[in-house]
Amino acid sequence: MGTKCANIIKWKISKEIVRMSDTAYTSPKIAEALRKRFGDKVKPIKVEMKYTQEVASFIRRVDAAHKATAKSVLVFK
Amino acid sequence: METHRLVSHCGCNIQPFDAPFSSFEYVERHFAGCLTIHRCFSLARSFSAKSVVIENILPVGLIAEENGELESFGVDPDVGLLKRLSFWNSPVPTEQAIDDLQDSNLIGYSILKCDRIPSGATTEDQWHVFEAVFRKYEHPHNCVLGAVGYRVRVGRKIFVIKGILYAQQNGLNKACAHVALRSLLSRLVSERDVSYAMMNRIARGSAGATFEPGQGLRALQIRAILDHYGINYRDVDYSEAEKADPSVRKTQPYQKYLYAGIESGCGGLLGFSMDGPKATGGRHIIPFYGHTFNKDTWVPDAQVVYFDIGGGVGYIPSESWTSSFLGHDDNVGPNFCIPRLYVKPKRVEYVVEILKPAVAYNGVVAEACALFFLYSISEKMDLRNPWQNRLAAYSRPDVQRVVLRALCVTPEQYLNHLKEIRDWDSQKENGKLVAALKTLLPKMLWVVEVSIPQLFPANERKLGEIVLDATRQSKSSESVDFSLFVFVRLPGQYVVMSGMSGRTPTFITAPSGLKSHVELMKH
Repeated sequence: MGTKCANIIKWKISKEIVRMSDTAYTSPKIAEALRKRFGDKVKPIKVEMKYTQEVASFIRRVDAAHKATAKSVLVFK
Repeated sequence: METHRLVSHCGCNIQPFDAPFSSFEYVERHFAGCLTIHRCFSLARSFSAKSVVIENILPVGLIAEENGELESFGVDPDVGLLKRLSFWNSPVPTEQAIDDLQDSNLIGYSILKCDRIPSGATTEDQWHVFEAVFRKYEHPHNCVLGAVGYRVRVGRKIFVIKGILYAQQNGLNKACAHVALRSLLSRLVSERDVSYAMMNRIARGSAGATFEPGQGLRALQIRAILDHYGINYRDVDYSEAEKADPSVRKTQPYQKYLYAGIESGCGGLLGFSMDGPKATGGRHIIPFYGHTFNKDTWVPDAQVVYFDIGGGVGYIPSESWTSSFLGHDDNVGPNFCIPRLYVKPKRVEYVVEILKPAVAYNGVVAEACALFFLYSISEKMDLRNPWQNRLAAYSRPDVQRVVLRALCVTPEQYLNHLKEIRDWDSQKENGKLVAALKTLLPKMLWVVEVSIPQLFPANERKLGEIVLDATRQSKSSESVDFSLFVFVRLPGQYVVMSGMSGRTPTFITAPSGLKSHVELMKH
């Protein structure tokens, strides 16, 4: 039971992060431009992404509220 | 679309506005005391008007089109009255003297329409404001974004007045929703105005033959009209949304939608149920286009302003220093300050945030994404920089008191801002870096400004910004999409995502010439 739950949690976490396979992304291009301009002054840093699930959940709720409005019967006069 | 404003008069009268002229007496005598018309006179009085030019005009353009629609309601278009009133901040002794006036002398104008409505065996004359545009107050904390110039003829000369168009319903071919839409759309569509006849055609197509325009528009008809004009928006019907999310009024307060629309220069619509002893259970909708800013507002120091996106993750939204939204109420008149917290959440039924073209998500989502990146990198901030140190302290999980302000701008607007701003020691950004960014930024940006209490309201300054690609639709509703991220600018440093290592994003830092706080972005 515990292993199954752990696997589900791992699966959920993996879905929270989208791979940056699309080369059209802006950020890596800017990183490259900055590397060229600043050379050694550009430093890598490791960042642990926080609150991923909370933010993703909030965005889902915003989307859901907009989608639910398709059923609206409100009239304004 | 502007011919009704540019038509020559067929009779003109000039009235000095100074004492002993009485707006009360004039409006009562000539316009049956119409409340909305009186509001126009009151605005003119507030601007210390010196004269009002009253012109009789003939119906052309949008007004002629409206009269065509009104015939189907039994209104005889040939007997109605139509007047164009313009209010001036200088004396106008003769009609010829109008030629010497400048745009800066024009306080505002109103086109007033009297329809002779059948009422049983007789008729009833009914005045209303077909449209009016008044300039905004000069005070810098009266923020009106996206005001456009409207051309209007007075006498022989055409003037331009900058403002937000107001219009009033007549209960026949147009209701509050029509006029609210026209207020916002007239400055957003390329034709620079929208006709009620066209709105009714779209609404009829959406609702079928039973549609009666005087009975109002459904939310879905509002959507259809916005879609027809290619207007980008996000809307919420709270009654529907709370079926799945009972806390939606609290977690997605209407003020956040309105504020984001206003700050983007597009505005928003608020639909609410009527309150008070005269309420009939009906719903009303009004447009908002601006806000006030009060740096001494008490609420930001209180717990109530903390906006929690869920799970104890939150921030202080910049709208906390907004005392009032600026909007029109077609039943009362143009250019009102409506306290931000006045309409109780339980009364709010519907909100629409208008987005700029090509923008894929709204301001509240932009702030949530910005928060995600900011709080994630906060533990890696360079604490040797005292301003990064302070920002890191305000970002700590047990504090979370950063101030966020989301603005939707073009790359040119942002880069111009980056070139112009100076830090507290008058240092500027590296010009070559700004030039390098020019070709790399996406077509529209969400720039989420980051500040801290005291610095934001008192200095109107910030510590940096999180820049997001506004054109990218999040790839998965299950995720935070890293492709939205462009960079974070902090005091002395940029943080940019360089790629992915497995499932973990990798970042680099690069130096910024701006070492401390800088001024907020102005529109």
